[in-house]
Amino acid sequence: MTADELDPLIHVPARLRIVATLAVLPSGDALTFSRLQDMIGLTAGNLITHLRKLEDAGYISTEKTGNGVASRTTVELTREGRAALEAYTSALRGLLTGL
Amino acid sequence: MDGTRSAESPVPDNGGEFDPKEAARILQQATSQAQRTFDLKRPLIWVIGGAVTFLAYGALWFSVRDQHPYKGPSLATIAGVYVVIVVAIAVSAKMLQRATKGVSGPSRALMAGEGIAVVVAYLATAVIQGALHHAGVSPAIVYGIFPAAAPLVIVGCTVAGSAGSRRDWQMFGGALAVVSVGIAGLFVSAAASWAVVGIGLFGIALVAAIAKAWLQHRKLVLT
Repeated sequence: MTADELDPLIHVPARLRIVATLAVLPSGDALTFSRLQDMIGLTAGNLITHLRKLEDAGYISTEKTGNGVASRTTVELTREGRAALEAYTSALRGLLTGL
Repeated sequence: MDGTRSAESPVPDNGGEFDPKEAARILQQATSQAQRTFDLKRPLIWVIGGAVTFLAYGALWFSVRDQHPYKGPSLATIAGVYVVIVVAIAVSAKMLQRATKGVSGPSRALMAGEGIAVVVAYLATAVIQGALHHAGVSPAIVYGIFPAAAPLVIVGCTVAGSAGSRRDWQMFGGALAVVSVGIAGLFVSAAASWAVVGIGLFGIALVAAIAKAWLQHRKLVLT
């Protein structure tokens, strides 16, 4: 097994943190963008960039509610995202066992 | 913050140069941090909760241990236990509020529904206790065995039903253990009932803490 088999969308420090954090929530639950930013420690711009890539892959879904100051964006790990993280963790475990 | 530095580090976007060992470390760190943030059922919380419960039931047992005939715990002890209960509820509510800040979804509604069911189950035991007193049942039952053990059976069954319906088998097993302790408390003397329940609940809390720590460790270990 080689590192190439690790999902390149998740195999990036920031996105790995995002996916691992969201995966701890029960399935169907979402986290606000601001709380996720607090936990991950990324700038808003950086976080948006990574979230967009994960959303394009179908690993997360985002929802914006309200307008202006009262607007709130929530982020949820999709079923595909959970499956991808499980596959990634399994591949990583196999890779480390072989080292 | 180490995590911030890792998250912001200039690693190629395709992750090609990202060492798998470093990936395992980040995965474990992020998962562990999120668990500490969102999950209230942490091992230390179980131990503290178990110890507080043990002390509360221990105080009740201490106040009735030499009573012949049995009259029930002293008002001062009951008042002290109620203060502990109120403080425990306030601390739990604050911790829950902090842990679930920014979280939305079906688990919140489920948690609220379960909370209401548990409160109603507790109130039901108080109503039955009142009915037993009204019927002239002995103080050993009304102020001893029933209030010590019956809430565990009734509330334990309520929680077991809820946990089973959402396939939370750890909680289901824990709730059945609580029911078992309650049943054991029903078949001893009034004074001993407080001690049996206190020791039993403390034991369950310790087992839950060990199980939780082991499960968290097993889930996190990648290497």
